[in-house]
Amino acid sequence: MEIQGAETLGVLILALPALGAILAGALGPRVLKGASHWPVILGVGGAAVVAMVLLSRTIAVGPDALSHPVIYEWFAAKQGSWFNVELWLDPLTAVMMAMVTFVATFVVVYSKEYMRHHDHPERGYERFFAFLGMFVCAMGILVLGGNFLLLYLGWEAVGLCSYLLIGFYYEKPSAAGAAMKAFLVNRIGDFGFGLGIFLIYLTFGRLDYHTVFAAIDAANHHNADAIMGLLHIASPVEALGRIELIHSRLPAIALLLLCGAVGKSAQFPLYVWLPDAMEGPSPVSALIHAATMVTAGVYMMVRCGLIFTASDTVMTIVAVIGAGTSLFAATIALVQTDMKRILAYSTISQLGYMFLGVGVFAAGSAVFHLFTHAFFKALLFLGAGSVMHAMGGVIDVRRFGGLRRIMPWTFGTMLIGSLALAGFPLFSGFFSKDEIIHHAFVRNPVLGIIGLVTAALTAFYTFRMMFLAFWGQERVPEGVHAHESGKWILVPLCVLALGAAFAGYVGVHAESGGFLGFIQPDDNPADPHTPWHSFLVKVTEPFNVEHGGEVAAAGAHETAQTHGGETAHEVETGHGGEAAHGGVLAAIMHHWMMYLSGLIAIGGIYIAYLFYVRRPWIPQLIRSSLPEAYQVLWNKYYVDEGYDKAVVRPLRGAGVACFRIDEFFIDGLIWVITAVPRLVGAIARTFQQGALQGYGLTMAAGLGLIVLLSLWW
Amino acid sequence: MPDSGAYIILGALLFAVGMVGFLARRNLIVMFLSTEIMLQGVLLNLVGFDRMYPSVDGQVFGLFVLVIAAVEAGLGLGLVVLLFRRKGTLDSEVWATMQG
Repeated sequence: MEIQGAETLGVLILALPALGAILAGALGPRVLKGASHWPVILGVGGAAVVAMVLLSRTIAVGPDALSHPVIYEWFAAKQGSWFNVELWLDPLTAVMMAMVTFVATFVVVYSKEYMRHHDHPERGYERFFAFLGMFVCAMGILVLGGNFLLLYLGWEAVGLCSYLLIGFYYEKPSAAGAAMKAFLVNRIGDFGFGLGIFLIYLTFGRLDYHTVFAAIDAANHHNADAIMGLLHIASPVEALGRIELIHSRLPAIALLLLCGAVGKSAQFPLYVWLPDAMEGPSPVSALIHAATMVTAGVYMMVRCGLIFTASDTVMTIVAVIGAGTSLFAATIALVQTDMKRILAYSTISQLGYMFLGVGVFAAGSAVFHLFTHAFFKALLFLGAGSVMHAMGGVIDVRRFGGLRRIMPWTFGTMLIGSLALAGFPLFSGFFSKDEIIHHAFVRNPVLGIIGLVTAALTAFYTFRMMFLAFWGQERVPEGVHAHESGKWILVPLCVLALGAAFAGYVGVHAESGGFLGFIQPDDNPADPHTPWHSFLVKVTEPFNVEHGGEVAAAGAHETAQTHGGETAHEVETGHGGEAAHGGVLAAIMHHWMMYLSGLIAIGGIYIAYLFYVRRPWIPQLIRSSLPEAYQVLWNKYYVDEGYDKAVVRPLRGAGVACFRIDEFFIDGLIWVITAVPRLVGAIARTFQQGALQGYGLTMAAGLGLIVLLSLWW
Repeated sequence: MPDSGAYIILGALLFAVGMVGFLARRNLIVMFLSTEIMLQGVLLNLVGFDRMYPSVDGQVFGLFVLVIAAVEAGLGLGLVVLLFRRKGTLDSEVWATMQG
């Protein structure tokens, strides 16, 4: 069903931040100077208001809401077919856009104070805000775009903004290098992503979501007539062939798109750029490298659910990558001492959870975790930035401590963020993470156990960071006058803290059966009870097909085809069968799971308390008794070193070899070829004496020679 | 009526004088003058040969060349003036920049 005024709202969301960015960029250096934040604050804030309107209208329409207005025809592809600038507005878009613009608004407000020192704007102040506005616009294109071309455009544009902002302090070699690394590593993923889009075009001849998804749906139902209509195919035989083609190519398309997602969302093995990206200013880490851009991969996989769910193998790969990355990054975070890097590894780990969620067919839960994570991780990064601001740029938790009393507001809000990240019961992260772990258990206990272990590690390293920074003896780096930040920093922290505390409640049961019913996850994604999942039920529909193997898929298939009275009956029997199958076990497991993950979070926090407040000699003892393990973690499993040996050095070697070939062989060849004219020139040059008389004499001598010769003959 | 051979000899003499002047002198105006003398020597040749083989073609041709020579003299002197303005001297040595 159409959303009222969808086109206007969508265009406004894109135009306002872009306008702000242009104003800040054009007028900033000469006119606005220290007030360059205003156009961007107003632009992004305006976009946030519009996004809220869009969200409320979408909610009013319900889960079936879908508008795909064409803004204008972009360029002709083949005869009669156009690539359009078009939007795609549905519940997922609305939720993503509301979250992105909301977080962005407060990040921009925060930056107003953060990017100043002693109320004096930093160098490049207007550049910073222009890039932020540009980023919000790019992220809008990514999320709102109605075809794969615009998705790719937004995808690359956010990558560009990320590059520009990581390298904001471009005079610093480490920042310039980190920016380059982020760009190049993303390039590897985006190469696959681009190939995936080419393959979509080759398979469907179109790139707009509407046609592609409708065609996949028709192919799934072997509906040749629909395929003929959608893809403009003349003969039914050809249409049947096309259905075969679509089925055979979907896994390949999914794998190629997955490449892009792995790069952008910093999953193993392409995660290495994200920790280095912390060289950028903290607001950038909060907005781009925690809340929004890095979740684009998850968004894309959910958006392309029909493509990804076509193959179980692909889904398993997604789940394994997610689970593996979440555990892997969490272990690295255990020993890091740079506050922002701890948070960066934590982001990688949480993105792993989201991948795990998608991979175990719990797309709604994955997006739910994306949503709550945006609040608490942005909050934690902004809090870390506030600490860094107060500590004069120092972010190593070994160099300060006991900041609890110096920075009470920063401490309080970060504590809420940490509780949410650790999955402490009743904070937002608890609900979303629990759902993913639950679904992982249903799918495969090994994945579930990995999820639980990671949850424990998460609670531990988060509070290790908190205890080191905020507890213990008051300690600040020398020569630093530590102080609480001003209100431009604290207000965004407080707002995001509210989000971190309460965002999870959109995912709890509307009509609850006591406390247990209140917090238990939606066990059947096809029939959700919570506001969140019922809102997204249409978007995550492709992910429901699978649950319970092929029989259930066939059942769902039949159900979809029968209309009327029989449908309800079949759904009921399906339910009954499932309950008889493992209903009791599942019900017990739900509640145990919930207690267990709550306990695990509390346990992790307690162990961190024991280790870093009560008995600081324990971690020392562990470190000295397991020096190898500590070294491996401290050096991040030597992955960067491994890449250096396996990829960077051979590539550089190849580059040097190419350079040498160019220098000696190609240039040598050219030298030989040019030697002939040069030799001729060297001889001919001697004829030019320059003096007029010389020329005259030569002419006279020539004349004399001719006369003599003519006399001779 | 002198022998037409005398015209040829006078023309050859004039050409030789001009050539020696061109080769021996360094002053741009004198060198320019010398080229004009060479030109007149050639012209005299044309007229002389015209007398040798009865026709008027040579004389008509001579008249045309005279006109061209007058024009070219104006142009040439103009160039010499420009060259003088550049370097403030008429010495042809200073323009030996084309030496390879």
